[in-house]
Amino acid sequence: MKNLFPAILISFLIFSCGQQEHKATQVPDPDNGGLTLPEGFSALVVADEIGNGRHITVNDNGDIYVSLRQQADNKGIVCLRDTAGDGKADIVEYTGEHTGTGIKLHKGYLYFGADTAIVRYPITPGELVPGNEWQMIARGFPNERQHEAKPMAFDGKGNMYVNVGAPSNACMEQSRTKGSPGMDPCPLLENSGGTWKFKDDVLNQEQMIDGVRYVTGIRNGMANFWNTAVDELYVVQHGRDQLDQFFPELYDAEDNAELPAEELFLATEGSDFGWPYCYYDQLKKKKVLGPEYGGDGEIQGRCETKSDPIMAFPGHLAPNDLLFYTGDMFPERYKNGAFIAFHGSWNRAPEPQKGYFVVFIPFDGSLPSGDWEIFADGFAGTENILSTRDAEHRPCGLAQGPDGALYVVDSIDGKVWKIMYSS
Amino acid sequence: MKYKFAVLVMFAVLFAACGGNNQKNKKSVISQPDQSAQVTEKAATQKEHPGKKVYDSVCLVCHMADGSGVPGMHPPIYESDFVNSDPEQLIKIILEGMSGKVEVKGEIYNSIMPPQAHLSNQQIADVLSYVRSSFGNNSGPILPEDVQKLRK
Ligand code: HEC
Repeated sequence: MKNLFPAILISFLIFSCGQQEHKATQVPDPDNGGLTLPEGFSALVVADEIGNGRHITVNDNGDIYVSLRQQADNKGIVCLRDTAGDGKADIVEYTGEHTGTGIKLHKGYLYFGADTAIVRYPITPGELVPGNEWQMIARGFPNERQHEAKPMAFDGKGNMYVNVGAPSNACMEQSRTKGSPGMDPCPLLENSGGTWKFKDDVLNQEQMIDGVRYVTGIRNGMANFWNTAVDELYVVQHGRDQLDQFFPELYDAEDNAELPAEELFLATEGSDFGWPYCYYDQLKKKKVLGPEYGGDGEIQGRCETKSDPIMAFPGHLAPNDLLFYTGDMFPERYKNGAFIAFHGSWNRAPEPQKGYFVVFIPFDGSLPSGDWEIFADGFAGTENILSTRDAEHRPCGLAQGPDGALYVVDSIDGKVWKIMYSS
Repeated sequence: MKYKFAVLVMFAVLFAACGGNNQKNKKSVISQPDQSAQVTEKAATQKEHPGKKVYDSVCLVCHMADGSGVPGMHPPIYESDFVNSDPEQLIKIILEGMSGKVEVKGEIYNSIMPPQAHLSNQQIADVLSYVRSSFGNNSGPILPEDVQKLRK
């Protein structure tokens, strides 16, 4: 009886929906939850309208946790459980006093990147909702009003890597003000604009005392991930904004829509990727000196010695999460390849906005083995997006489930999709 | 007991999954067609508001062509309580910028708007008058003298 029950229900589901038989054990939504996916892939909506979702993590038992930017129900963490086995969350609980972005299960705790600290909540095996007695892991981060998200990555060797975005566009003396020069050297790099390394299991670490600056010159790298296949950290950068607005003599609106590139970095220890002095021009395929530092869109100057990206994307697409795929559900070519959730642009205006999608990049070892491709699209629900708010949903976080499915969470109202494959 | 619950859930799911496509169309920020109709109408009868040029070159990047802003980053200024109330506060935002937590239309913003004091009194008066009479806002103009009074 116990074993038969789900099977009966699933066949009932398939039968009553009048759907074709599907090999996947869970039945995708007829419209794949509004997504367009490659051949063989399908999706179902796990949950909807749970809040302003940011990142997402899935436990070995399938329990799902989503971080919120803004409290819902006076809480900042959403806990989702599917008791029916159909992939859809039928229990939705809110917990946690922190809001923020980073959220990862590690060593029996739910690590949470509140914007000025990394904390962790205890998980009791079998229980969905974490305990309230959170612990402080790392603190002392600058209090920022832009690029404040603190996602973390774990290397499995006792270390935690935290993105500390620079609260700035290009380190101008006066924030985002035309004619204001770039500070040189940029003082923000001392405690932001890079990734800091901490112990993953030590309480009350201070950024500037216990933390080590692991890589620098990254404006905001909220998509970060430790790739266990090669044991390296990877980070995707949000490139600078408003080239045309501050330097109309060098760039027009069309240039600004494409430039600079969003950059994928192989973040080996000690690397300097060049922000705020440099940006990557994906059309000229080189790092050039930023106009705040005397650049004209051509000259490289000190940027010749900065580390290049291993892949470049069109400007302003806003890479918000990164994941290297290790599951067995997807076809072989996806194994150890990278998925990036792009949040979609705002700084392409007055040109149309774009980039509300999840991309895939095949990898061979530590480097891409092919170009990037759009993997999941249709989040925005419309083609022609002039204002960012026209997008119905914006992908923001990624996670891999224990069965190898890919989860995506949206930031507008926390819609969660489960993307599956069946041959 | 557990199964009863599961059955209920499955039925609920069934209904959700198969029970018709009641697509919610909740995003009714500002009806775009209305707006464009308004714009063409205006264009036909009068020449472009002088503040539009300032808006397009300075404010549009963050607040968007329709004043809808960017979720979680730049607040919307359409049908805006703030824009339609105290002109002094409005002028001050442009001269001094704005930062800190604000709730606009149920969403919290905790960001930075850089000061735009490099604009002339005339440009600030124009752009604010334009914003106060566009995007579903409905308030009177602001004069260059009003701006001058608040310059430090
Ligand atoms: C670089 C982006 C940026 C630019 C350019 C910009 N703003 Fe803002 N604006 C913001 C942000 C961010 C806030 C909210 C600040 C906060 O969170 O405290 C804001 C707030 C406002 C508000 C208050 C909204 C409310 O309801 O509280 C008004 C009105 C406004 N801006 C008008 C303008 C106008 C007019 C211009 C052009 C002259 C302009 N802004 C240019 C980013 C910008």
